[in-house]
Amino acid sequence: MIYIDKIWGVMNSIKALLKQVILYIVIICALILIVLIPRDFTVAPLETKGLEIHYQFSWTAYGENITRFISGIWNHHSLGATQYERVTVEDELVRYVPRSLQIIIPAFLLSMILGILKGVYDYVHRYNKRSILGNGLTWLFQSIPDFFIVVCIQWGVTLLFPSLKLLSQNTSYSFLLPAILVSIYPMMYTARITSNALSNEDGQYYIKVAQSKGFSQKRVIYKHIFANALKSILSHTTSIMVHLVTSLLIVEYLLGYQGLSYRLFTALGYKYSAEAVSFSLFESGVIIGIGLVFMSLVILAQFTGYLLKRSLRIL
Amino acid sequence: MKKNYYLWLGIFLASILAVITFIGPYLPFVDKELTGERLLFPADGGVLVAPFAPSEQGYLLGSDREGRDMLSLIIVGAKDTFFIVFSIVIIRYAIAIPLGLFGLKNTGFFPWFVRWWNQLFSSFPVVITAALILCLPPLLFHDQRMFIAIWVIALIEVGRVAFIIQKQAYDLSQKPFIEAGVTIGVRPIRMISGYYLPNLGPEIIVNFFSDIARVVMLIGQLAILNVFISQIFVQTGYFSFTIFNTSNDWATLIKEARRDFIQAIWIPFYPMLAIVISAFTFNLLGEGLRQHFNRHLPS
Repeated sequence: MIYIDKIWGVMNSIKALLKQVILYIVIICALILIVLIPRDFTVAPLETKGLEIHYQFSWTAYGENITRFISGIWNHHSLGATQYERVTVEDELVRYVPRSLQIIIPAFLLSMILGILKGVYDYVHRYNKRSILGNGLTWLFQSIPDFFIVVCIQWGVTLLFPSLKLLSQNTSYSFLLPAILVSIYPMMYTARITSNALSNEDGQYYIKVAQSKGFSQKRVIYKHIFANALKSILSHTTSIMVHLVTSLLIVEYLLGYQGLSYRLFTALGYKYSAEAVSFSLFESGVIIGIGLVFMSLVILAQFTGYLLKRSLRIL
Repeated sequence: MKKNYYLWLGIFLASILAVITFIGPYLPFVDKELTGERLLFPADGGVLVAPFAPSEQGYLLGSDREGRDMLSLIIVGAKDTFFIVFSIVIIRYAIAIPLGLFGLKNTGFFPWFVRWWNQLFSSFPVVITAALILCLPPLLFHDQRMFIAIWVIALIEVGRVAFIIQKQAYDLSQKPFIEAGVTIGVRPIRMISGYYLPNLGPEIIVNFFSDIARVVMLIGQLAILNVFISQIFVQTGYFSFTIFNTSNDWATLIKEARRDFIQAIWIPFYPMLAIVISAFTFNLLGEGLRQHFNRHLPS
């Protein structure tokens, strides 16, 4: 009987895994299909001064794009070329991924650890005066969009500490400020989840038992409630990573930090200068490549959550 | 009973926003036509070039690069901004609520559909998804771009909202009072209106308001990345075009944040502040309503 249960359990986890894999394949296919839609504009001179941009969707061009992409992967093992000569998408990724990872990894750790601590603080002080510092602050930061914080800090730093070179990219600590900025929103998100998960355990008998045994409040929270709440916190690692990537996009773009998101913009084709947007090459290969990197970060975060749960035996 | 400060502050701020949106454009100091002078010639000689700094030349919050008064821009833009935001969220909920309720038995097509929709779009940042779709060439020059964009942004997150509603409806359907309703032969429509909605309603309303805050922020983020809800391309040279946002919403004003923060911080700053205050207001309203609906529960 026990064996049947075990086999059943394994079957179920394989099924869940399969579902996830199919989901990711669908997302990647959708990404590729959207990016490869042809973007050839025909520009026709108008009778009056000026030009008219015209766009006509053609299935043959779309088909060509797709076959070229697939044959590129098959024959050259490459996602394609970039706007620069003799630079493949992989070369660009090798160049830009480490820079972004320098931000993402510290930011992920920061938002998880500090976020959970903040969440516990919010939970402990939810009914007393310090809840303004707890829930109130979490809440305020969740209402402030990342771009606002970035612009304000950028402005403040350039005005107050121009000598610190916090915004420079040539110092060894150049990743520090972006990492902190990127982690703010995900951190508050984690704090919110943590305090909600802790509150959901309210009123359970095991808490009353622990309290009646005379354990200190700290011990009850960390050893008893938190251990139970951790399961639902760790199932949110995917969303934390998604929020992180969103912030990364904004922060890198605004600070001009030359990472993945920055490259994504140059690849999107319209370079934005002061007066004009010009359509240069739409580098589909680069966009797909960066999309895949973001995707794998999300998968990695999900896997981390799974591994943590597994090692803590709270699956 | 504890006073619900969140709710009162939220209502207070929301009514200020409402006044600004509907009455603001008719106030005497607001330039409704949004005319601007790029050059000014003060009485003591010299030439001033826009953007003008705050409190310079009678511009309370400064002016933009066209010489238009920032205060007027923000006040006039409030209507367009809130129109877009509310349309998105209302469409989203109008689709998500029926989808969620159809799935209350947790079997069959609808729960499956909702789950997939949710997972498909929640594994990738909404900003990137929205930007990729809104940058598709057929949409770039479409006459009805604004309406399509509103639908696109609304639909991307329908899955998430419907998933939450579906889950709660299913949890509710397991409760004894629902079974009691079924046993005494209440018709399905009456079940929904009399049994499910009164219990799901508060949560839906609370989420509705926090969704408004999310959408306000999303539009700001898209604007930072130069993706607008409504835009036209205006040619400025051979193969170069400028994106003009055809509506007056706040997003347009922050598009050049990267350049402006050194030269004219006030151009992106005040619209961003307006976005922050709106997001804050709707979050406050949501939280206040949650406390209001839960006031009978023991704390």
